[in-house]
Amino acid sequence: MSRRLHSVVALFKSPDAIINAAEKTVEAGYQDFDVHTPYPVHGMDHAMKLKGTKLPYVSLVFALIGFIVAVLFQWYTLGNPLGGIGSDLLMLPSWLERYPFVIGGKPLFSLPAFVPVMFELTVLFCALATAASMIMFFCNLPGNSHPLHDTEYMRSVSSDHFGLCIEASDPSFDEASVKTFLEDVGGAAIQSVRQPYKRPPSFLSSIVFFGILLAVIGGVSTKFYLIFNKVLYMAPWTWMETQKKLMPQEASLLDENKKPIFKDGRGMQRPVEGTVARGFMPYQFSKTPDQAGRLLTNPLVVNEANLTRGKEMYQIYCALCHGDFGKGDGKVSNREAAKGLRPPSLHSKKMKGFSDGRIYHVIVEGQNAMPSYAKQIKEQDRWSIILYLRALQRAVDAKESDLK
Amino acid sequence: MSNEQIPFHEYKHSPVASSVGTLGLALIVLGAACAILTLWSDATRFWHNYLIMYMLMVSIAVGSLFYVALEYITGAIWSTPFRRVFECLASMIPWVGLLAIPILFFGGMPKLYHHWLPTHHAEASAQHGSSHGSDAADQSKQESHDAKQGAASSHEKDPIIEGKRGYLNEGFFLVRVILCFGLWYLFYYWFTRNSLKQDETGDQKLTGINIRIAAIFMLVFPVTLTMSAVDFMMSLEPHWFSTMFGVYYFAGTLVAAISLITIITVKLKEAGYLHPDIHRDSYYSLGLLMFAFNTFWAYIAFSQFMLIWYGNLPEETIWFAHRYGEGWTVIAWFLIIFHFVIPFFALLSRNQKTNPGRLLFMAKWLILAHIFDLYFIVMPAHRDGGYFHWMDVGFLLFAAGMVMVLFNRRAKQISLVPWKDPKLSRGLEFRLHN
Amino acid sequence: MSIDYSKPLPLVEGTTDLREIDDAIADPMENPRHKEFYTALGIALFCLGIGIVSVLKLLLDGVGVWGNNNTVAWGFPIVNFVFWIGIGHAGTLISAILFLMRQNWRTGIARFAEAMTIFAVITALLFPLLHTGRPWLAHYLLPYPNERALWVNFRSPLLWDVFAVSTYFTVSFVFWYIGLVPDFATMRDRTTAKLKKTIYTIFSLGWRFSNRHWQHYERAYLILAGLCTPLVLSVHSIVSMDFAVSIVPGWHTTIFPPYFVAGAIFSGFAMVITVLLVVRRIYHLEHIITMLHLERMSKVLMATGLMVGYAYSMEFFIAWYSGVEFEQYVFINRAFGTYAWGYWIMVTCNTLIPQVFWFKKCRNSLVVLFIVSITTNIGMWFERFVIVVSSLHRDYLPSSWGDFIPTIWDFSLLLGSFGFFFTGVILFSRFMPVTSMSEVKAVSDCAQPTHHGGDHE
Repeated sequence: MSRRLHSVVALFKSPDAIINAAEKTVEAGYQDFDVHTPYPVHGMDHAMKLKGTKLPYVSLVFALIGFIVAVLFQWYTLGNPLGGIGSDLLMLPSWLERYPFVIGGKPLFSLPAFVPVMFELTVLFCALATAASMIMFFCNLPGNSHPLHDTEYMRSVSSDHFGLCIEASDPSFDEASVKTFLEDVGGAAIQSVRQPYKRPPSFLSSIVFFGILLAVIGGVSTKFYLIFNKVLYMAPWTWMETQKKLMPQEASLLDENKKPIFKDGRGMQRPVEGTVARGFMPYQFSKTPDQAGRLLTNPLVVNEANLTRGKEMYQIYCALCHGDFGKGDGKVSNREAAKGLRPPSLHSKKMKGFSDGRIYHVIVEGQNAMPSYAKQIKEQDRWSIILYLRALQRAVDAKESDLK
Repeated sequence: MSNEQIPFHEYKHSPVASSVGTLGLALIVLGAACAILTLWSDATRFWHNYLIMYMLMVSIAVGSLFYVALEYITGAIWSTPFRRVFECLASMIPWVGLLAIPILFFGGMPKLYHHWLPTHHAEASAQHGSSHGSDAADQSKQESHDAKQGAASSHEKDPIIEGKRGYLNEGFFLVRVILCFGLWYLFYYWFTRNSLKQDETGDQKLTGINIRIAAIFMLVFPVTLTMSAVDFMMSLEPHWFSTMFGVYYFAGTLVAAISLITIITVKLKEAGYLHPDIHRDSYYSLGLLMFAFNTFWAYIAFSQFMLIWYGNLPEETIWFAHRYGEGWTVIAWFLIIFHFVIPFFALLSRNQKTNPGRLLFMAKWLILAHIFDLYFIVMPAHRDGGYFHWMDVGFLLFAAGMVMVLFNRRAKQISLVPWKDPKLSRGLEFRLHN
Repeated sequence: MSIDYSKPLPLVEGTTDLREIDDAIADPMENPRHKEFYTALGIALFCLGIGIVSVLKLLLDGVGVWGNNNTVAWGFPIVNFVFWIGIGHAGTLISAILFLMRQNWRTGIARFAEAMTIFAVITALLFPLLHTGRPWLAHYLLPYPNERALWVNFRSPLLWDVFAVSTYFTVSFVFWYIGLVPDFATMRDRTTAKLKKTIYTIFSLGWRFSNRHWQHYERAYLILAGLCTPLVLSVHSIVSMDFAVSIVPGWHTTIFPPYFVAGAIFSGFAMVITVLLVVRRIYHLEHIITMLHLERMSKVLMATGLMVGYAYSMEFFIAWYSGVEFEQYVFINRAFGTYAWGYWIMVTCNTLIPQVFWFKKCRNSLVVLFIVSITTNIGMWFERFVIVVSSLHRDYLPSSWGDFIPTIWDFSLLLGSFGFFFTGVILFSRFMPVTSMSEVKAVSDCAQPTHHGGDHE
């Protein structure tokens, strides 16, 4: 009637027929035509002489974009030593601050650990780009106002027939000759398809489509925002915030019947008898100085580092009473109040006769007026002090041979 | 579509066959000469190179047999027209078994596995001291390496090694090697006997039998291949262990075997010695498998590395520390780029997978990459510092020659086309649609 | 043997009439069987209800209602999470990997398997959300700029999980949806009801079955399948790295990534078999989901079961070989310790029972298939349980040893997760085409032109 002609269509019953028809259509010189099949028919692209699809290039580009985004993002947020709270280097707003913390002893730019996320983002970007570009860009979908929709042709083609559609926009289109041609190649149910009555202007559909896309993206983002910022802060999720738990110093009366959980009614308990704190092993030779002297040996090698450490520690802990050279004339010992408490010289025969282990025992347990220094001086340092002491003893009583 | 005999070039009497045979022989002689020179100058390096070559040959031969079994068990048809190529490569299995003999009996063991061999400690440590490299720097590298390995501890009993003595002892080692080759040869024999019989009778039952044999082979193969990898390569550093090691070697095997198969198939097809109706689309599957298995190799290699790196346990990281520091850093990076990054992009698109020139190039590339991978596994156990010597090439020449000679020999005995295989016609019709 | 290897095996039995295929697949949507549907839905909703009660109790009283304690801090929730993600993998394998391998027999089952993937992943995601005990801080997992100057810890496998599982969900969903577009278009053209037509019109995006579109469609499908394949490998590998990057004995083994992937496919296929056996019976799709499909699936089941068995043996061997006493203890403890019963269930169900599929009779027996698929799922659940609990309850320091006793709330949440999953699957089967119409039609006999290389397998 007054509707413009869009195309002439024909149906075919078998895949061989439609392949044949497509080939003939190309031979006949038609360009604006299309084949409709309920499923992809092998060899149709070749029969229609279609050029290869450019989709893989889009996928590759977005895959690379995803990869680069992943690398840069991880590098920026975690993998570079600049920034971090309190850094003067860059006055960034807090939401752009970086977080360069050494975690697990791994280097800041821990490439092996970054690889999984790099891989995932590559795949994600590639997949989304492939799907989106296929639909929107290559197929120009969604489009529900195409003239072929809601025709008998479409109903057949979406189920069990194969269809050929030659469009009126083709330069060599002529309704009558096309119909004859279609008959010749074996088509059935040949019809003219007209444009629908109401055709919205083409840009409107793009607007609608982008509107829908924005709505979807907006909807998903809003959903995430609502869930993470509002929903999860409402009941019943917030029930988990208020739980029965024991705070420090509280009595252990969680039970409704007010029966205490622990016998002594306390919430906090002492460590079990015999518990040893980390870094501290119980001293085996408590009150047995001779055994200590016999069995303990100095594990440290005599080198500059150990001697320097020993000197440091000696100056800090021992020199106040024993004096800088171990002669018992330290600042504290020289005072009036310490008259009867002066330590003996560390260069006496007895002292030189003490083994390293025996001296260690004195440091740990104390002796006479000297209290235990176990809590102040760490195990390694005790041995280094002993090394230094030996050096002092040798220095004070130096032999000719020592000068060489 | 019936399988009538279409005239084509029969491989048996062709000039190509004789020239391949001659070239192969020449390479064997040349390679052997280089190898013997190496033996005289530095025995330990000789044995490590020999081990690399041996593991390469095992990869190719047993990997090809795996592909035969894989075709049967998955019911694939695209590979049927050139399955004989797989079978000919698998025919190398008994000869590769012979290759193991020098390692086992003629001095390889003490040079390679002195860390766990009980009786050769004194000898080995003496040899460490006296091994003369081609220059002093070599020797110091060797000694510093040994010092780090704790060669001194070989004087006393190492409790860790003693704990493994039940597995790492020469007797059981020998038993395992014999078992592996015995089983591999058995399956090779069964597969090919049925396949060749089918050339005469065309009996479909034979395909069915081979499918069942393939199913059983798939039980035997992972265990035996893992045993070979663990025995020959993981025990080079017997304090180290990784559950993934068998899978790692398996992945490399897949890549190497399919690459060599591709080279031979493409060359033979283009020269007209395979069924003339094989379409270039069949190459697609070869390219796809190369791509997929290479990516699989990268995944396995990365998993093994990352988990050990992350856990940071010294008993495990030592293996990678040997292969990253001390001169191996560049080579480690080279392996990643050479074995994964470049082949990934080179074989990504469909066109690349059906282009014979590109396939040939990448197949050769991937075999070299696998050799490089084996080198990366084996050599750092021997010494520090990325270490290439021109004479190392001799072993590769020997391997190439051996493959040529043995393939040629077998290909002249049998038909390169399984004329009466029931899947042949479907295989020839294989096309990539669109 | 009556198989003729020179001919491809028929994938759709009986009919080659394309319209009949459409009718058969659209039938459950157009002629719903109310009795079966509401019965099945009722059972699923009942289980889901139990799950909801369990979640409410959890929110009310905190994570203490579970058996998790100070040493075994990861209990049922992690086991369930890994279990459900694993089940999702079969869907992607069937859809994507079998597609890449040109195994056309996947067409009968691919759509359903993909839907199972989606629902399995949603089910799995519930567990991380709940087991942290602080669901209102869930947004800490996402890397967004914030005024706390905090970023997520990209070095942690738990975060890799976030990326991996969400990517997996998104890509699976996109892949599933792209596959559904032509079917929605077919449904659009079949229905006459106004509301249904509008809905189908919107979701079919105006698909016209044009071959120019099919060209892009097929390439997009191939690319998505090619992406899904490494994705599925990576997801369960990353999940396995939750365990393997630690130094806990029994967890720190390099073979975990491929081992978990094989195990995931194993359990996933078992679940697919279980559900498909029911679906094909109820919806009379026996000629589309044929014995051929079921037999092939049972072979895949056996193959992946053997891979899992290989991994068990390697772990065991290397534990001995390594000489590390902690590893050795773990394996002895697994077999003879507190949870030995779980270990032996796992070994029996995963390695021994599937061996019945060596026998053709068993592969073709619906009863055996059903039983073995269920025992496999039980075995795989126990595998994760054994890995998590047995390694945690006896690790390096004896002072850290402690037993794990699951509570009623653990079990009820597990049951609830099954309810949630099956509710989704049942609703899917009622309202969407269970099988892909276009794909099945494409591989039926005489569907492709004869002179262009027929079908491929």
